[in-house]
Amino acid sequence: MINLRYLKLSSQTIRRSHYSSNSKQAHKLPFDQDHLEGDEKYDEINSFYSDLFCEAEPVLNKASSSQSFHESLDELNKEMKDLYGADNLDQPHSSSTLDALDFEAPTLNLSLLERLLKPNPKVILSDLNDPYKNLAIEEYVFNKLKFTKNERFNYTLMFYTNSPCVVIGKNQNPWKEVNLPLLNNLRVPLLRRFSGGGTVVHDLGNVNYSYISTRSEFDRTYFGSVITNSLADIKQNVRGDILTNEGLKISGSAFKISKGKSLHHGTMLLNSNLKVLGQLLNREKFSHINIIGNSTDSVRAKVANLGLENDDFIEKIADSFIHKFPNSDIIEVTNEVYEQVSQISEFKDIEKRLKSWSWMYGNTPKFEMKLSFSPELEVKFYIEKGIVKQFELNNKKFEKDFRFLKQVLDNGEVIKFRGDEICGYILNDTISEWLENSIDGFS
Amino acid sequence: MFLRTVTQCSRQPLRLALRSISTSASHIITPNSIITKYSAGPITVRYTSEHEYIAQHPDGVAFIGITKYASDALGDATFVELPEVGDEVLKGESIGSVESVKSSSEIYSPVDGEILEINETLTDSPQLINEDPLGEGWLAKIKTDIKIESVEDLLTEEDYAKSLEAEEN
Repeated sequence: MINLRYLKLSSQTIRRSHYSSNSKQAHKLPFDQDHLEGDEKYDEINSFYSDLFCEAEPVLNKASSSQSFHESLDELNKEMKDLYGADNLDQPHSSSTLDALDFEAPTLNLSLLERLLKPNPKVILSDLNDPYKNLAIEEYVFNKLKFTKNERFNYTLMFYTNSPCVVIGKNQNPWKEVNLPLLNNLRVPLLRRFSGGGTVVHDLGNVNYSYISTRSEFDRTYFGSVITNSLADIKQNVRGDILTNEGLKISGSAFKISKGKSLHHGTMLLNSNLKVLGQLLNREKFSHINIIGNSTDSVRAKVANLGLENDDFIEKIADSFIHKFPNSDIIEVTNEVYEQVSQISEFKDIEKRLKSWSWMYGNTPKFEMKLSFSPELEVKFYIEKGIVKQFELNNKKFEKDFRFLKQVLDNGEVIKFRGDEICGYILNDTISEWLENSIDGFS
Repeated sequence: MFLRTVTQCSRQPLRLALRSISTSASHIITPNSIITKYSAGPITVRYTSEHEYIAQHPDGVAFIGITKYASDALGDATFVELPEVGDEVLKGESIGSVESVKSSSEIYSPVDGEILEINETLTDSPQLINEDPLGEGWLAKIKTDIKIESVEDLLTEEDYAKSLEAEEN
């Protein structure tokens, strides 16, 4: 028999902290934008919100869907409460919780690194909900694990749940994959992970799992089959996606191979807010933008929730893992563990990289973006490492509005491809605002 | 027992899959390719346990890429990330990556040196990594003072082939 008492205790903690955050910081709702009224700079953004989530004006024929837009608004606001409460989620455990874990007590004093280096399989449960922290821990764990010939059995399974965020693949183009103005205005974090593949949205109804093994055992479907064998009524396709029997995607995977190790991580949609979070990837509003480049494209799929509780999913999969590897060390990443590991410079570097503009945007493969302002004006930007290399206009009439931008580029100045940076060099206010909102809506 | 559980539950199918991959792979530099034509030779070729190859000409210039075994195992490449010309790289440092079917696989430099040239055709034709990894699918040309036959942990073709067999077993 496998003692899952520790697992259960820690996952209860996750559930508790998840719900305790809802009352916090309600005043930070994204749609509470009174302070922006009268500032015409925000008009387009505000009308953009209206189109997305509010009851339509009579001129627009959206009356039939107004109810769902209201629901979406409420749901999104609730999500945002969770999001802004994220810092409050990582409460250290009460002493009574620790007392109950007496059988694990001897290892609690070891640092995360010491436990990672011990030659045994590991199940890692993160109590944290901050996506930057979780992705940094996952990367750190991957880097630190060793699979030498004598210590091969360091197979590791990690679980974490993030507050709402969007995560793109290592070689993707965020301008192409996500609705950047919406993300920026809702302050939904956008991250670039270290594995390949496409864009996913995380929220508290989604559990992420990571299975780390050796490079020689790399297999895109192995861990998916562990999952499908652990749960009823789901199947796996050749891409390593997990689907319901009806063919709706509930889990997407991505992989990374480095230094003799392989990582397979995936999302598992359990009770995610699919409708609202789908808007974060919706680029229908950007039909005037054409992007050409070699970045990895996301494969769109119809998604569904599995409907299990987060804890139940984690327990079932961890149970299967521990059944295979009965001597697994079960490591809980509490806020305390995080505070400790975050003092390590190698860990700090990972976190810093994840949060840096040069990784998030600058790692985008080089691309061209053509924006059509009107039949009269098309602007084409050439971007390398997120930096504007050059631009072209299709109409000489507008050159005067762009002459300052041309001048600074000719002088070799580094201009990041950010709306708020570029708009300062455009001398026509209407075009300037349109460009800013089209590129990313940073404000 | 623990060991037996692992073998039976998780490793058997993988081992079979790997065997079918490695038996069809060759580790020889493609004859009459850009790599062999760079000089009159002779070319020294070495391999890393991470499945990179390095093919060095008498003037010290070397081509780096990944082996057929590696590209077969990764599947169809969709994106190749390359270093920049002029980069000074250290042995074991990442000089790029290959993305294939949602996997990002890092590539490491087998020696210290300076990147002289990169294979820009991979930007538009990443599939060359699968079609001819030891020829037209080369990744970078590096200038190094190091004679690769004197680097201890680099493998000869014979040793590399043996290491693949050992990995299978």
